[in-house]
Amino acid sequence: MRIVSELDEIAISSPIGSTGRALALAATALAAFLGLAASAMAQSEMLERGAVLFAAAGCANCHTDRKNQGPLLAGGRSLITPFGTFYAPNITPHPEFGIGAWSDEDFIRALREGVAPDGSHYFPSFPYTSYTNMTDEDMLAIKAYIFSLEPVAQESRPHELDFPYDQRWALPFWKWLHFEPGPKPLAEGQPDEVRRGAYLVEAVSHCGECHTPRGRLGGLDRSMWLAGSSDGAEGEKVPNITPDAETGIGDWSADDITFLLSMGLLPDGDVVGSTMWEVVSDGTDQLSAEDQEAIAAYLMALPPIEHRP
Amino acid sequence: MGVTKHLAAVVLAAAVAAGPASLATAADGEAVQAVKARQDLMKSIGGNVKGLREMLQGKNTDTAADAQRRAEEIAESARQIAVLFEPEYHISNVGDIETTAKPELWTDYEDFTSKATALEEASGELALAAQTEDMNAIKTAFGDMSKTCGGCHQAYRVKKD
Ligand code: HEC
Ligand code: HEC
Repeated sequence: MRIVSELDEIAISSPIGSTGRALALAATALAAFLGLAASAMAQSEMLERGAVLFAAAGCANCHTDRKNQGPLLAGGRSLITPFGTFYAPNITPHPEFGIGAWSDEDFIRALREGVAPDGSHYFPSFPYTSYTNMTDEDMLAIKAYIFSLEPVAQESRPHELDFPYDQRWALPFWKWLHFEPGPKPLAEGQPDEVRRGAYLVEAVSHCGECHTPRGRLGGLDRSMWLAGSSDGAEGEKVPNITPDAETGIGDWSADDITFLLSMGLLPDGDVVGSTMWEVVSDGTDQLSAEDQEAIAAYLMALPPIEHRP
Repeated sequence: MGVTKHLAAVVLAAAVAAGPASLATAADGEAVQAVKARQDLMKSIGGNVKGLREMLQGKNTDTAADAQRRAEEIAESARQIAVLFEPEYHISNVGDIETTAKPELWTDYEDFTSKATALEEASGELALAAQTEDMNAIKTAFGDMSKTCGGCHQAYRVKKD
């Protein structure tokens, strides 16, 4: 399913003619019926779209404790950072333990601004710094999908952070330094395919959150965009994916990239490992071939940066 | 157990016969050969995966018949995985051979072997798809098979830099 087009308008040509009241009435009834059918269809399309976006955005990778076979989205996976260990919370539609009581506005605000319904600020370990560039429609499609899943009554585990990083009140300052709420236009002036790739990479799949090195305060170093990092989510090295021939993936073809995104295969016949496998499996492998090709086109159009993490 | 044990001995004997003789000190000999045999098995699967992939990318001259042969070879290799990783060959680094198998492989041995069976089945599906000569069907089956590799490696292989 292709996700980055405008929500397809469902065009219903009006069957109302000009001959008499009965006909008009019948037509109104028909139109009402078609309207209902259309909204049911829009609903199921929205869920389908939400499922693909949800996969590509990797929400379940952080919000599910996969290592211990924890329930989907009930929270718990540990994210090791230089600032301490984060545990992504329960975001199942449970009204008390999850986000079941959230309105559309609450949800959009969390992803767009990194702000909770009570007005407190989120740590950027929740990659709202990327999601901020998603469209409202895409955010709401994800919400609809999450709300179609099982609610789980399980308390979220508190983060274990080192001072001073445990100071939530300091976050507005961090955000002021490192964050600008979107959506901002991405890859302006580039061909459509590259722009679609930019949206998927920068807003949805947040590839940069792992593949870009961070500065001392944890902000992404944009001058080293996708040039590799030595602090992955599990303390692993994350490779340079700019098209630099020596240190990046300059010798990969577009095909090589789509084979990775759709099957997890590396050019040498091996399979990709660690957190990248999670990105691919039930993640980018759910995207349409067209969207995978768009990501490849975007990566290949990046400026090459020489950097070995 | 008896049958698999026997199979293991045969596979190992073949590996010993094929492998370089220099590795075997008396004590380490069998252990080294066991690790080496399973590494060679993985390499041979990797070689066939690469060949299939290059066919799908139009980078080699393989035909659908070659794809079928490769898929059948992978299925055959998959059948040997459980044997070559039997708990008694729970071996960490021996001699100058490093293993990237995680200890969980042996504590969750049943899950491990079910993943090997998944590869066997998926490569069987791929061999069937190859018989249709339909490139799209081959590609889909190849993708499904590759993902069984990824799932197992993710769980039971230590990733080296
Ligand atoms: C890289 C890991 C990661 C990914 C990917 C991720 N999150 Fe989170 N998320 C977190 C962490 C960590 C927090 C807690 C932040 C905090 O406490 O300040 C969080 C918090 C949240 C919250 C706030 C919950 C609450 O109770 O206040 C929501 C909602 C949320 N995430 C939704 C999502 C959605 C939707 C996605 C996918 C589009 C997603 N997250 C992807 C790590 C992640
Ligand atoms: C959660 C962190 C994370 C995210 C998000 C992530 N990656 Fe990765 N990526 C990794 C790690 C770690 C590796 C190295 C895997 C390995 O060693 O097998 C990797 C490997 C790769 C490679 C192979 C590079 C090479 O030289 O072998 C490519 C290409 C890649 N990622 C592209 C992407 C793209 C495109 C995205 C977004 C759709 C993305 N990654 C998102 C962590 C991530």
